[in-house]
Amino acid sequence: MNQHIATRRNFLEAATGVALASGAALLSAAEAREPVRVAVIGTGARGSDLLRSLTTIEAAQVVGICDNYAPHLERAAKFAGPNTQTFADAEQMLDRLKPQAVVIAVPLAEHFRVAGLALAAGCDVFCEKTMCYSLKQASQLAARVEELGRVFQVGLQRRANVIYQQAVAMIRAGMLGQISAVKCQWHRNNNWRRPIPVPRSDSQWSTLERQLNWRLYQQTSGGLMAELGSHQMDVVNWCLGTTPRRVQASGGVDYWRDGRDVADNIFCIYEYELPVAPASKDATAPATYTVRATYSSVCNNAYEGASELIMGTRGTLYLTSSKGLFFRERSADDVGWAPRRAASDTQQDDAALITSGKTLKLSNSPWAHRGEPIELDYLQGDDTRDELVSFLDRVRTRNVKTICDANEGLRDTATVLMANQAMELAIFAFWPLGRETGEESSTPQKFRKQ
Amino acid sequence: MGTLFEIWLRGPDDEHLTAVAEAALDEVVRLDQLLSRFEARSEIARVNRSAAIDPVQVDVELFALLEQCQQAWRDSGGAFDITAGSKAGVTMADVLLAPTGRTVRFAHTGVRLDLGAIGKGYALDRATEVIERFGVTNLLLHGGTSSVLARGTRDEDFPWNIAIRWPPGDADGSEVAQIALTNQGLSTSAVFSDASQPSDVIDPATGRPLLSQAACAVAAPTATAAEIWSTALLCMGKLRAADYTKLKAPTTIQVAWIDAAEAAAPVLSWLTRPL
Repeated sequence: MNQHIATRRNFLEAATGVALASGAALLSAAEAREPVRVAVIGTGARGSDLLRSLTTIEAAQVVGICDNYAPHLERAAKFAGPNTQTFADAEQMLDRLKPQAVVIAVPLAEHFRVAGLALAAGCDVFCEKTMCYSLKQASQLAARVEELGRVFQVGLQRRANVIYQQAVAMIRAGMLGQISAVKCQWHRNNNWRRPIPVPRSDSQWSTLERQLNWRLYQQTSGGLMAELGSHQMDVVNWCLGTTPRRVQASGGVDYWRDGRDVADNIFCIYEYELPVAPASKDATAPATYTVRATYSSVCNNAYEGASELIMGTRGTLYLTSSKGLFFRERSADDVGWAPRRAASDTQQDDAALITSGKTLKLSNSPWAHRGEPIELDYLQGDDTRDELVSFLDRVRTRNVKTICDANEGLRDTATVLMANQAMELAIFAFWPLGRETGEESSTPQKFRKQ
Repeated sequence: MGTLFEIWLRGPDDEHLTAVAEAALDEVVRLDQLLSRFEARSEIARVNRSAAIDPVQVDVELFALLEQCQQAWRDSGGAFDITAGSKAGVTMADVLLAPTGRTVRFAHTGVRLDLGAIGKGYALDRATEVIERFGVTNLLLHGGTSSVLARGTRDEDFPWNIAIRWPPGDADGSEVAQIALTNQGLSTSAVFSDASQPSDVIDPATGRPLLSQAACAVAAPTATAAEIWSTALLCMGKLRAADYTKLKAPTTIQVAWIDAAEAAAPVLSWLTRPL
């Protein structure tokens, strides 16, 4: 039984792109046993989750943690255990400990600066999404990573999730047919606030509000798109194999009117250009068609939750982090009498069919047309841990092809920011980067009115 | 956990209290996702899948909790055992914890960990830490009504009053006792069966299933300790629990036993000094 279970685990590891077996073959025996010395910078909610996950991975040794907010650092120290040093200053930690790799979970506006420090200190970098606050920062960071040849991974954990990996494989295998449209959302019902440890009357309140609730202010936050949309628009880019051409979007502060200036509800329509299947006989027919992907996020209703729906002419994928469902579209083949109809087209046969009394059973259920789905499950792990395992594997094997590298992070940043722009200016926002290189295009295309 | 958690907070700033309560519930959800054996992505599920094959490295928090469970198993003479529900013959002795490396190993296959007997109390204690970190000192939380924790008072004049009801979970049941809970956790474990199905708790004195309906309520400084002891003492049965409480149980706990014979009204008696 042990043999069977070991084989199954290896299959799953291969599926998640970890490839530990092949990686280990490149290292000497001694090197393969040494854990990677890792430091975590930014130990708030997400950083602590990453830290906790790292402490369960033999391949990692957390040598240091850093946060400039003492209560977060204190809490994280409990997760890290007694053998991890604590710091309030990232540069000091990097200089003192010289870790091999750094995991960065500081607030968005700090990603660029802290990633820069880590690269300068010679480290490989895991950086939380969205990669950077601005497109300029993201472009510069991606260029720097490439120049230095470092291992760099962005924390878009669905890239490590077997459900999404399988979904992409199914799309590429043609199981969905031609993609018709995409619909995704992340709807929740809470005010997104972190509590402030002092009352409003306290002189420290304003500073702490800006520091702890950075997500609520445009000066420090990319809002719902950067915090939530980045995950799901990366899934869309991945499933469609390309980046959007343009987007229109609308958002506002319509409920949580507590002084925040990021929208508490957003709605976007992205347009992607996909190649038409070459079956068409008409040489003058357009080579591409448009797939529209809608995205919404609200903060005062949780009914829809977080999911992506990829709709195709032959099937539909409903995806979440813990479950995937594939629904086949009904085709003529499903209806019992259709093959007979195809075999002979005479009026006599048609008449016979109509009078034969064969009927399609109608159900009372509004969902009857969906039929029974094929279910995809993620039964053996969690994607946060798996993305970290994958990152550590790349660090050990010196493989810069991470499951989500800096260029993918740059494209995700651009995808997210164009929606914010469209929302702000009530325009169509166009893809701002050059198609091939990912650099900012020389002709400013950002402001084009429809 | 499939359990309803509720939180009451008292303080001057509504917006602040809402955010604190949300943060505390986030902590409960975080722990449920890590500790529930029903959640395929949980740490407990990961341990249950692999610990018989290889030692499984767990995080600092879970390792400390497992050590606490191991100590409780020893302190209760084996009555508190998180391997309950594994195949026959398995006990906590089959779970090997190694502090260097923080690893968990099972001595053989067939061992399964289930933190159901401690999970609610543990979640309440951790949630309370979150709440207190934000300067809120008057709070009441419960998980599934069987695990409760209180700090401070309900208002200036009244403490947090908890009523114990029989049958357990029956909204029309009768009130057996009312307890003023001050800076303590309270946990109630119950044996409740009807004529068609005997209790699954064995009375060690007779070797047969407990015939009489019973519940054990324990108050302790932490909700975790309250839950450990209400579970352990209920499993021991009243006679052994009474002896154990006098001789071996920690002096910081207060224990009440509820007897409920079929026809008569339920009776609560204190095995220690009363609350």
